[in-house]
Amino acid sequence: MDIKAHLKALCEAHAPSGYESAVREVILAAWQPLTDAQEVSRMGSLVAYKHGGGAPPRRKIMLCAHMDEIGMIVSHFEGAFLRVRSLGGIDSRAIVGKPVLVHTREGALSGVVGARPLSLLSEAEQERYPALNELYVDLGLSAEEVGRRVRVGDIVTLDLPLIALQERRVAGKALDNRACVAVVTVCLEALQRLKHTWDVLAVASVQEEVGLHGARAEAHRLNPDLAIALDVTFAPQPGVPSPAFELGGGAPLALGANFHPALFEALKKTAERLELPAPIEPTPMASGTDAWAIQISRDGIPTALLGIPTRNMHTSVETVDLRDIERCGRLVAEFIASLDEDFLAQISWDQPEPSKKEDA
Amino acid sequence: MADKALIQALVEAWGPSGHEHKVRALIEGYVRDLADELRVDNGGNLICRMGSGGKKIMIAAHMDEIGLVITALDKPGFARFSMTGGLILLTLIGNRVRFADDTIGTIGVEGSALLPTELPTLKQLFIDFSTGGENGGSVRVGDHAALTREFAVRGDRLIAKSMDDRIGCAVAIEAMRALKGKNLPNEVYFTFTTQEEVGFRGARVAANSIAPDYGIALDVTATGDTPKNNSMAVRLGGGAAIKVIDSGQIVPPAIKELMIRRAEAAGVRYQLEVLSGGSTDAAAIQTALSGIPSGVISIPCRYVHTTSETVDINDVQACIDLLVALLEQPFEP
Amino acid sequence: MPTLRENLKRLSEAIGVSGEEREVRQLLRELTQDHLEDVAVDVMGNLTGRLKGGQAGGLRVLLGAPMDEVGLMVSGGETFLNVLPVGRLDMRYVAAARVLIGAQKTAGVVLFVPIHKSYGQNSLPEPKSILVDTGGKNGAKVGERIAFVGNYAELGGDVVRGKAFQGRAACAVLVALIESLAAAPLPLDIYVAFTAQARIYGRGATVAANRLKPQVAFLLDGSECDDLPRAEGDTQAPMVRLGGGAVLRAAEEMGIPDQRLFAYARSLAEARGLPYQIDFSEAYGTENANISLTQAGVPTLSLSIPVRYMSSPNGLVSLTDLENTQRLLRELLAALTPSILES
Repeated sequence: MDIKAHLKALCEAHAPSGYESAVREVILAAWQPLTDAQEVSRMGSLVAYKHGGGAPPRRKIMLCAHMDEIGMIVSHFEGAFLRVRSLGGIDSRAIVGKPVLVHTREGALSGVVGARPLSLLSEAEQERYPALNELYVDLGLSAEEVGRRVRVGDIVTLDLPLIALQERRVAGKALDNRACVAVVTVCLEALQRLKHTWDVLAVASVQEEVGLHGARAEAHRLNPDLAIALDVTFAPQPGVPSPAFELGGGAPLALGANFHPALFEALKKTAERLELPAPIEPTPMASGTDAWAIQISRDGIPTALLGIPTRNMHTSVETVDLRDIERCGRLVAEFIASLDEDFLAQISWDQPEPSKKEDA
Repeated sequence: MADKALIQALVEAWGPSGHEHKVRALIEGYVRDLADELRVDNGGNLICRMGSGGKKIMIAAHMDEIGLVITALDKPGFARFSMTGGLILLTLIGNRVRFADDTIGTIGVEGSALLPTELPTLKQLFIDFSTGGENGGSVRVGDHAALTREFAVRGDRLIAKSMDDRIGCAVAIEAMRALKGKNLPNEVYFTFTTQEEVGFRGARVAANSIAPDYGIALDVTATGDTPKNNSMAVRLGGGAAIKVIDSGQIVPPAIKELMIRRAEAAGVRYQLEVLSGGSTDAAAIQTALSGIPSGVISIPCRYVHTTSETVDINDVQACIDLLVALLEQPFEP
Repeated sequence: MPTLRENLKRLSEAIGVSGEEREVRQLLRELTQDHLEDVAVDVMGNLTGRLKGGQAGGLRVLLGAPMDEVGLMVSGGETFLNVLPVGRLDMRYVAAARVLIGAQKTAGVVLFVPIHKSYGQNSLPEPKSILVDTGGKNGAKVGERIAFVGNYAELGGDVVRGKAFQGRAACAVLVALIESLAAAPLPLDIYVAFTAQARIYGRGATVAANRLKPQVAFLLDGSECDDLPRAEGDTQAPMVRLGGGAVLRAAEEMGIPDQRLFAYARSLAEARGLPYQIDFSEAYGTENANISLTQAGVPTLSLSIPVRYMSSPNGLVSLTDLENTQRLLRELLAALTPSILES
């Protein structure tokens, strides 16, 4: 599979939180040939099932990567201009002058995020970034045209392609978290060549950016035995303190209260066995990812988190390394292939005391 | 047109969050003969089923109103309080509150009574419940109170405390009246919820026990139609507001579009709502269990969380009409 | 209009950071070569020529349009490139920008600290703090120019979106005018100059005017639109509207335009029913004053095309404005007599 082309299709789909259908179609097309069954949940998450080779009832592992991106939504009009509010934490500092699409009932309209020219700003305003409520979307249309074609509640997305940088790195919008959706694709593809006894539930979840809603719902509905959440994490750049993880340095494996320690160890051992780099991401409390919602679903679900290092997160030039995606996908696939009937017993919190010699 | 006497009775009832029993009793009186089945759950929610079979739809309108609770007694006749729900400090001084036993208190601010010029902090405010007698009244720590003010009508505009969300309750009751005797294609659970103002707690409990397929909250929303207020597109008199998004929830597009289709087919005047700040019971219903797609029919309301919450009777009727149009047909988003 | 539209797209997408306008210059040479003679690239990098079939002894007129755009220059760096600004950058548009580096057009992005690590930091950074990431370590050489990437698109109606419109919309109008004048010549001796370094104090135009010694000059440029949502309480009517027609500048940063030409242009526009608007603000970076100062003062008029978000990589222009500016300038030339300058 051409991972770059796949990622480009994923990232260039326009699908902010709550409006994920466009990217769901792209993911479904990629996962359909790799899985046995697919469904769309009530909340809009995509679940693809790859059955294991074991005798039923089989154990289930859920892979969860959110597919929503940050965006905006039209809140009201000011003449020919659209005022917007954030849909999932858009960074208003990084969108001024960027091209956007406004998704109307009659199709998408191209526009630009506008701001008043410096000559119309006070001195103080000239020295700071405008806030979101000072920005607007300009479609180059008259007020009448805008009123006829655009409605309050229409969504707005950044309209920028994925581009290739040096050394197998790519930059674009929505790599948070389509990079991890691509990890699941790589994993499912690797599983075509591997034997696995467990069922694999690949979930592309909705509404992570607005409160982990998709993952919470699917964890409750699917009630898996294990879960691995996948989400982007920070790569080093000026202004980003440690811990941060080098692009191309492998997918960090998170360690902390949000994760089952024995599941963490098992994944780490798999990485060691495959000689794949797997740096540890210390995460003492909330991870802020789908893993946070999944872990406390129902009776509790042993959960792990793998990340893809990313620069410029929550901008339209999020930057990742394709090698991290490939290695992470392979790691997850090999881990799944290693799961057997007894795995759950092996990841208990407190191992029985090692038997003493005289008892032997 | 919507029943003003019903609305007046509802808004004048006393029911701060967690203390909805008086409102519940009042509503029970209106709906007992309308519902096929009626129960009060452990969360204090009044759940009224109409119809059976088909999609299970939970309709939520909250009974509670913003209020306050006594935290400490001060000199005789005075007490300190904290808020239950989002009281606006700027609007409190001089307001009157009512306790469960109908004791009336007045909110005052520390210092000279004349010309306070700065926004007070909560700690500077107190309640005067003095009677002139030596002990200064019967108020105790832990007692709850709600703001009080009379219902008023100005043309099509209805003005009262706790339109949030008794007007939602009125919409639900009127819809039940309209649906009574009809062969409903859905199993509808009209749920009058508790503790919305302190975090949608009643609706969350009810959603877990009803386990509906879909949820619809009925609640007020703010407007952007007052002087120098260009914060949002909703305006009073603009019709039922179909929510697109608020701070707690993204309404699934399919639900929003179903509401739009039904409104257009039934000739109900509507507007689309994008709200910053605030949310409704639908946010809690949508995140319950495995996710319950939920929408909101909002009643446009000026001066939300004051004692002069103002709605337009035509908008109220549009909300009733939209709800009835949604429920008397199969619910297929 | 199809040609104007296509030319504008090609011109907008070409790269010509001030001081290194080669790609734009070569494109303009290709677009105008059939109609120009004595074509030269002068010491500053201006592309100049004489309109074929001009009338020797006729009034000697210079038509100018700037080629360059603002950008960056590589100054060093290892993992990330350090840069220096070229021209006056509006730093609001630099955050998370996409760029192309050097003649080989290596792709890069401007680093932006994630909001998770910079929440509440709202001051605009200094240009010297900009870092460019090419993804690798072999990205660029010191001194290479870096251009911002625009996203050319045709929006609704006649509005197009793209970069570098301040100069390139003027270039597109001048190309269209050259074609029009070639098809229907006027009894004038017309010189054209696509000028370099307009965004750094209009220095190219100074040299072009010194060399070509016109008796009168018309300079095309862009003018910032202000028909935008205003701050609360700002009730001033906009001066420059998108779609409002050619802009006549009543004031310049470094002087005022030739009053005879200004009055001539205004009355002619009204007589011909061509839309125009007057910008009373003091604009930055226009070349007019420089040419006015050369040769003991060449009578000069600026005609500007309205551009929204002129300093961003995604400005908006109206093709109708471009058309109308071209028509107005043609009318001005057609009715031009030496007596206008003698009044």
